[in-house]
Amino acid sequence: MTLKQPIACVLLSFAMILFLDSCAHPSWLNPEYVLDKFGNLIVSNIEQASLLKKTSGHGVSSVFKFTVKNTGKDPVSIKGEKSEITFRSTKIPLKCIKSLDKSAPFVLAHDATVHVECAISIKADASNQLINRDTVAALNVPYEIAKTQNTIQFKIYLRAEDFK
Amino acid sequence: MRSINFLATIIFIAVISTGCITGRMQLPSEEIDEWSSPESGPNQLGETCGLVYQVSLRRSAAADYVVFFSRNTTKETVFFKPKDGKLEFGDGKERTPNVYAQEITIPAGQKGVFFVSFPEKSDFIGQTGLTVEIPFHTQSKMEGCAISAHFNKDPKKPEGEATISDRSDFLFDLSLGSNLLKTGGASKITSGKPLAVGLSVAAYSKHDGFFFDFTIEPGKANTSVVAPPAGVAAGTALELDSGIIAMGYSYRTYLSHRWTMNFDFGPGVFISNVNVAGQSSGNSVQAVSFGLEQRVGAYYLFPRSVAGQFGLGLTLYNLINTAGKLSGASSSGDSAGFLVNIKFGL
Repeated sequence: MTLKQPIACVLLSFAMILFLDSCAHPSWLNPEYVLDKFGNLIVSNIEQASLLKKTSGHGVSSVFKFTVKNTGKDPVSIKGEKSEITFRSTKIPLKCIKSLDKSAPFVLAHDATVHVECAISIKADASNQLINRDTVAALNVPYEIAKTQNTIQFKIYLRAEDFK
Repeated sequence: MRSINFLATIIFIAVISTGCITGRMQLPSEEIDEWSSPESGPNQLGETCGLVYQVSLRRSAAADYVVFFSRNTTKETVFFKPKDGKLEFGDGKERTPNVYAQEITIPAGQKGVFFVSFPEKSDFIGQTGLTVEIPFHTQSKMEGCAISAHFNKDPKKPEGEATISDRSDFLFDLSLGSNLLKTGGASKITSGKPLAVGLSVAAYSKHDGFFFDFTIEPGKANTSVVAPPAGVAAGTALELDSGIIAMGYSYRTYLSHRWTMNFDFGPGVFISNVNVAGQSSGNSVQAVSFGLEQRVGAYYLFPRSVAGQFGLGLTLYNLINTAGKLSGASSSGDSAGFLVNIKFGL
């Protein structure tokens, strides 16, 4: 018993660590929050709304969410349908599933706020090469204010190991 | 030696787990869903006195929080004094926030994040509105600036149990009680009703979790059934310590925002040990076999203090010894009793 007992306890410790670690969400790291202002638009931090999912082949998908507030007097047209993720010079459409999910631009009036969720799906061979190193991708959400074109841009960090 | 190993391992578990848990508590990440609106989601955004800010309500098992992200667009350092902040509910109830730093500074052009917590999770019971305000100043503008945000509870969503109830997800339990019943061989080898002593830890993710428990019943052996250890004269008073080291599944359900009921079930190692009364070392006889443990209990958790969270509870336990022979006598059977629990939560 003198040996079995501590061995059992140590195994339990590892089980506990695994249990606690399982509570952690695997994520595309976003080490610094990006709360920012684009013209008169205040844009919240971008956060992951769902766990990473493996797709067929070497691919991953996830949902990101953020909030936008228009503090200017002019209405702002946010073009969810033209949103995209730029990844190693490759542009992949972003599929917004909440608030910006219509084919027409979303009009954000003065002092209004909108909460947005968009899904991104990346295959490792999107740029005809396997992902074998960490990289940064840009999430671009175009908007128009007084016929002037602008872009809300987030940076997200893609880990190579997520694609394996 | 055995008890030293056991204690060392418990401490090892505690240290690692505490590290994991407190590591996660650096910035509370779980949004308070029922206070999230369809339009703005969990965030309130604003800009005042050159400060762009985002205010979010979040929670952990320990507390509810207001998290402030801000970007200083001025050319001066911004100074926050979170303890001067105000948390005001729709019914007029006002709370002074618990703070984790007396002063927060954000240099010109930089961004910063800090959070405050509510004194009690139960502050949220029955509330429908909340206004949060944290004043700040710069060297040239000493007053009149504050981060301010208003939240409404979504009437379509029920009060979140995790929002209004303060429950530790990691609990230590020290308990003392008595055996009430023994059956089979276990009843024959025991004389009288032994005490019961327990030491356990449990970790949860919401309702589900697992426990690790050490319950022992130190009592007297029935010397007419149990033969004394070798070298000990017949008729010598003998102590019988029987107990289980078990681990398994634990389920908890919430009876109210302070009362919790739990059910534990798991396999373990059942140990029965006979030695001469009053002699902790020396001749002894030991039986080790496969055992099962099930427990049902209820406990009350007091409001959290700086040290952690204390609780009191009552547990009914059932230990099952499936086999085993002790000095020729069967030690198998059921053992049931109660324990009064003192709990400490992280």
